[in-house]
Amino acid sequence: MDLAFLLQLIVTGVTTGAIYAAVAMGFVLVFRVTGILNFAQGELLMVGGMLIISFRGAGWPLIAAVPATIALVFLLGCAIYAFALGPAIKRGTNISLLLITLGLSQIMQGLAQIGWGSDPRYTPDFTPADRPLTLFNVSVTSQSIWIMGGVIVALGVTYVVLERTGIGRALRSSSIDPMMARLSGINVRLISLIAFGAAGALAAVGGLLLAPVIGMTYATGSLIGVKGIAAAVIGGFGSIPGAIVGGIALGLLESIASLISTGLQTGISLLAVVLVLLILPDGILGGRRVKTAVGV
Amino acid sequence: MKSPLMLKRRRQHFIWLGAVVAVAVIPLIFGDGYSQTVILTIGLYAIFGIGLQMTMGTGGILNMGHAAFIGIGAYSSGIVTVNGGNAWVGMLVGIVASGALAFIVGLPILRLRSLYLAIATLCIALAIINITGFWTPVTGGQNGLFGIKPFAVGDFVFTELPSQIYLVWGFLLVAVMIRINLRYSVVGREFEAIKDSDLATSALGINHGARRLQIFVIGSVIGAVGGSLYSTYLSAITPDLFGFQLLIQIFVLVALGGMLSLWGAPIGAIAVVCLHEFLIPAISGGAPGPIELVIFGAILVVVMVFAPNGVTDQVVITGRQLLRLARRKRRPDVPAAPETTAVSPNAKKVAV
Repeated sequence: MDLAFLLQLIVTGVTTGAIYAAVAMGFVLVFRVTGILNFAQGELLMVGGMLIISFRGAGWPLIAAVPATIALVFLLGCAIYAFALGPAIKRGTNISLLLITLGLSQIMQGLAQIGWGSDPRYTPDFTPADRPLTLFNVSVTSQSIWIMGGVIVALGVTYVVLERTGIGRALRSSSIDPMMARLSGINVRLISLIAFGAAGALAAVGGLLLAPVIGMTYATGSLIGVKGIAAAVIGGFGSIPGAIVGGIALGLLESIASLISTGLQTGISLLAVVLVLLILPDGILGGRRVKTAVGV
Repeated sequence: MKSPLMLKRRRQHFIWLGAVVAVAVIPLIFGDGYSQTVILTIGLYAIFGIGLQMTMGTGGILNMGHAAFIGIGAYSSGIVTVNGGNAWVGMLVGIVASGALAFIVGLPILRLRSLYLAIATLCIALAIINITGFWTPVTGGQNGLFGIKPFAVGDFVFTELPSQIYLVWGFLLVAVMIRINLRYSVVGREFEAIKDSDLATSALGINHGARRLQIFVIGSVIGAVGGSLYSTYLSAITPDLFGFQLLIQIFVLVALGGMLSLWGAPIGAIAVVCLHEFLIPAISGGAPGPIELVIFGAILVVVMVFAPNGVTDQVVITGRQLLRLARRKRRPDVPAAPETTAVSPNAKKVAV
């Protein structure tokens, strides 16, 4: 295997991995603050992708379409918490909360199919180029640069918000010890709402960057959602840097698995995730277990 | 206090008699082919549901791989009969394969915390479906597996609908019997105890891991038996049949039928199959499609928000509360004894 080919695999892997990382980050945010595993996260990504396709189809420029998409999916994420999970969280068990998120994902899929049809929908690349960029014999499409750059910006913003702002401090303290956070006057419910919204925004970023690359259908989200969870697991569920490392690792794993068989890509990578779970339940970064609102 | 168990045992004989009579008579009443297909599907879904109810409700295991275990049963039957084997041998292979897989998978992963378990089972299930779709020489790949032969006893072959209904519902009654016996056996009571207090039961020497593994294997095997019946009924199967859609349907079934209720699975199955066959086509005017996703999703959300243990369980709980209220009103002179939960012998009894 020559070097260029290997590099090509890495570029492909990191591009998909970046999307997984964005989704995984959303999972981790929600999970750390509320202890809920949000299966609807993949559908939020799908909605994000569908929205940007619609906005661009209506002739909006990117500068308007991107913030509008992110804002709408942010609100959708908030709505999920406000109307379904928030009221349920007090009486809910792990099982019932998980089933609620599953139900929400089904509702979103169904509504998306009704609203946007079941055929795949496309949108042009953000910066259409005649041919892909070539560096050291490795071809990189303009959209994959957009994807990597966009995800880095999104994660950077998340990092700055978490580390440098009041809301970020409240989020972090609620995830470390919700009881103490509540005692010190943090409105944990509001923080949970924001966490869901932020997770939605991150998924929207993933979705809008991915939309030009694949044909978005109502069903796109469910598999990406599962892979986002898988990425979060690889990175040690609950760890934020872990989510990024896990996402990239899963992307690379898939691009290597595609050498064996493109069809079996999913199967191989998911089995690998199970192996990681068995051997290193705390993820490849190791580290301490994270306390959550509902001791999981 | 009189043991409620004894009462239930005695009452059970009548329930059983009624169930058997109902199973025997219903196919005779609904003579036409379509109704009989629906009845048969109800039976199949009820078997699927019992398997999941046992792992989720009794075992408290978040099993998202149930549809794949059903698929293993179906494909084992299919592969064996397509290659000239007997359907019963096929079912046996399915039982052994799914049981073994559940054991191997469950042995390490049941030690994971519950949400990790959901992820692990989901990943395994999706991987199984994916591999089935591409292992063409054995499983027929995406095009599916054709020519699965039905069950036969001696010269009698279960090909006609009524006989297949009796076969499926016979298995269902056995499955319900297993579930009820397990509930009232030592193991079943241990499960109830585990649910009440983890700590106390471990102190009593109840092995949580072993119990959970047992229930996981039993639930998966029941699912596989259902799958085996399913494939011999359809005679052609594809991997997609055992994907997310089936899983969601079974989740809705368990949500409606209750996680714990002993007869909940058949009730839930009736609800789900009737929704799928009658109500949803009536709303969407034809093919189910997206409306079904929305309705099933909405049912899951609404039920789980308002009744985390499922509809029938909630009905039973509310019914008991109402009864207690009614009794209290009838005899105002007798102060109603408050329901108490003792945390420990020394702790104050707390009125609920």
